[in-house]
Amino acid sequence: MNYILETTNLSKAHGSKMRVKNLQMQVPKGCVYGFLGPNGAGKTTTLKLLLGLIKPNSGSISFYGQKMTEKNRLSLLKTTGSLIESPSYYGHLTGAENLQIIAKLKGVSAKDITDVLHTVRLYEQKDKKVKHYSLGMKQRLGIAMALLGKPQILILDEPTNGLDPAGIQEIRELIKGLPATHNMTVIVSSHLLSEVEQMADMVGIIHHGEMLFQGNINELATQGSSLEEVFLAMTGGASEL
Amino acid sequence: MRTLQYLKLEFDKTKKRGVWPLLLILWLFQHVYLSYGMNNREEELTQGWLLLLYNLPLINAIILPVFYAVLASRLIDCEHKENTWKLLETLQSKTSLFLVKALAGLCYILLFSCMQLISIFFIGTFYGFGGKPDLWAYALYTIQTILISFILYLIQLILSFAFTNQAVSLCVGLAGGMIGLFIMFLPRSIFYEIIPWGLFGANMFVGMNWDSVTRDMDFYYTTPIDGAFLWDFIWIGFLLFSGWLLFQKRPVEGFSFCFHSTKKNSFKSVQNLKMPIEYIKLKGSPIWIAFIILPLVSALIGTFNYQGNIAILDDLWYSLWSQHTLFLCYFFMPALLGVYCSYLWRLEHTGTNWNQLMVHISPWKLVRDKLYCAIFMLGLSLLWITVLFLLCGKMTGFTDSAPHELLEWLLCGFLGGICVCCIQLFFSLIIRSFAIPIAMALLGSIAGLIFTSQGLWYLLPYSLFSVGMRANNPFFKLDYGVFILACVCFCEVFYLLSVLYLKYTDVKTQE
Repeated sequence: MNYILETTNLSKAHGSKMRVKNLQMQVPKGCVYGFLGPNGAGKTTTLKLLLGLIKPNSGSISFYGQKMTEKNRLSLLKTTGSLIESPSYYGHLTGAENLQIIAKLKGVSAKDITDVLHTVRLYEQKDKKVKHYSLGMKQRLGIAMALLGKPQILILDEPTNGLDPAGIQEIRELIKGLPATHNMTVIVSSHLLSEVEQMADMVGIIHHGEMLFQGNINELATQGSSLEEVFLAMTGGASEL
Repeated sequence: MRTLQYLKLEFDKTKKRGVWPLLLILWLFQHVYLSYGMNNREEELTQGWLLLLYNLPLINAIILPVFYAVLASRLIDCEHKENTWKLLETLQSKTSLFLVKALAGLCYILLFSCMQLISIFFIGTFYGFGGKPDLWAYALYTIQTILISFILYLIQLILSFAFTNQAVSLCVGLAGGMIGLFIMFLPRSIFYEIIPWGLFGANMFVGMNWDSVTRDMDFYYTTPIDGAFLWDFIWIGFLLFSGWLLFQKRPVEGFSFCFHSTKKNSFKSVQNLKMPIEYIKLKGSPIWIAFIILPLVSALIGTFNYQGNIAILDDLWYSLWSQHTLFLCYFFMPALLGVYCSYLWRLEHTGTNWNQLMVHISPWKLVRDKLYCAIFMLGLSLLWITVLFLLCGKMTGFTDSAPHELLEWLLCGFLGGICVCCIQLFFSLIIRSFAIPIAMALLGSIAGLIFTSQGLWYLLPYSLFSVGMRANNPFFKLDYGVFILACVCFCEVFYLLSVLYLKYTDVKTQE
């Protein structure tokens, strides 16, 4: 099977501790891939590896079947959008100016900025300095930056952080619709099972840097009586969540 | 007891923040500088103890303002960065927070003064100074230095606290240091005391007679300016009070020093900006003001000094040029370029900005863009220096036209300045602290001065700048081959190092 994104034996050590261990991640085209794991499991490390922000100790990453190297990294990543850790922004500039900077970096036109601002419902707030934004507004701006330029692969690290229930619902619906409306593949990480359950088709569960399960979300459900129990059993109980 | 515990906390917070190494480097540096000044002339050794008391305030006036700006920034900036003010206010009263921060600084000051005394007595014994040191004189000197240091530290503490953007406090520290140094060469007046950086000069109690024909030096005790000691205490009282008041009143997010109004273009549709990305990021960052003020101060005092000493300075335009550029190019422009470079990278070191940036731009292009920004600023300030020079010359009443070598000096200064930008960009990229690279620039500049006097100016970017500008001596015959080769090497090496650092290290964010 062809995967739009695939890692082979991806490993990353931090000091003597393995943050990510022999990870085989396989993301089919056009799906929402839920990347699930408790806090500190290695989700963000993995996503940073995918984007080449940190260098793996061993293993490789392929986009569209093409192995990522230092040379082709930027051209492969041109068609990605990402939000890692928390939104990146220049606090002394307005939301619109922040997006203008990203648009210039991505080579995208001004019309797209207006579109994404409407998509995340931040248009009315675009002329406010970002340092005066609330946490939720910053998060929306981060999502807008990721969506800018209609990327083929969208990588979102806990995108619903800091949003209110209505906002969570809204972003969830947005993410669910992206494969159909814009032909995107979305990788979304979360430590909330319920969230992944509601939007993902595929799921990867990571714990202590190792992939415990990867596959269709329905497959996972058949392994036990409820998803919650499966997840807790896999990651060693509620104490670690 | 409580206070002691809080004080210990402050030292814990600054662990691994480069304060201790910096203190040590500064001390070693001063030690080397003072030892270097001893060139074993008979009359200097017999008067060695007096000579030191004359030299120390001078070197203090150059180094300490910036050092205490860095120290205060280190102690305060960690709270800005981690956004801990709100938390602290719930745990500790604002008064105690201010006092503890001030006390922590005082501890460093006391320590540094002790270290300085050790090196003084070491130098005295090592070079065999005549007679015994006057203990009262050294006691007085130490007390004065501690008081003035505390004043400078308090000013920087207040500025670092009030403005989240650390560039403000560092620029003030630089400008103040320059004024303080200049003032020592002006006739003694009330300005010595009402400008806190001038207090080093105001409190000096050793004078020098210098015979310009025989080049003999003779040192003698004199009295500090009337009321200098009193002014020390007035300043400390005033600063303690205003600092305390500020800690009570400051809004949690700090005062912003920003001209970027967002009102004008509200609700217009979003356009593609024509400006390069790096310039969009600099919107509303008024660091350029420092690039206007420092050369202006240098030109004003330089012209004033020139007019006061026309009898000795008889090379007209040439004399005026060295008056304008001497201190500026030797000490303050490199440090100011350092502030600018630190600010350029600070934009990216903040929050998670590296995550977005490194996905979309190649390290080559990124470092190049930052370098262009710094070079642009360098060019503008050189232009400004020229305008000031020509204006002051006309106003002084020079009738002949400006020296034809001017363009040559500026071009060489520009090339040397680019080297300074390259090395400072590299330091500010790998050192995440805002202030430490600036201290390095100042120390580098002083090292450059020593290298230049040995004829080794091509070994440091900082001296390439000052020598290129002919800041010390407009008649200096520059070896262009060596100069250009050194410039190209420094630029290439530090540009490459920056790119390689970005390419091969993992992205670190503040999260």
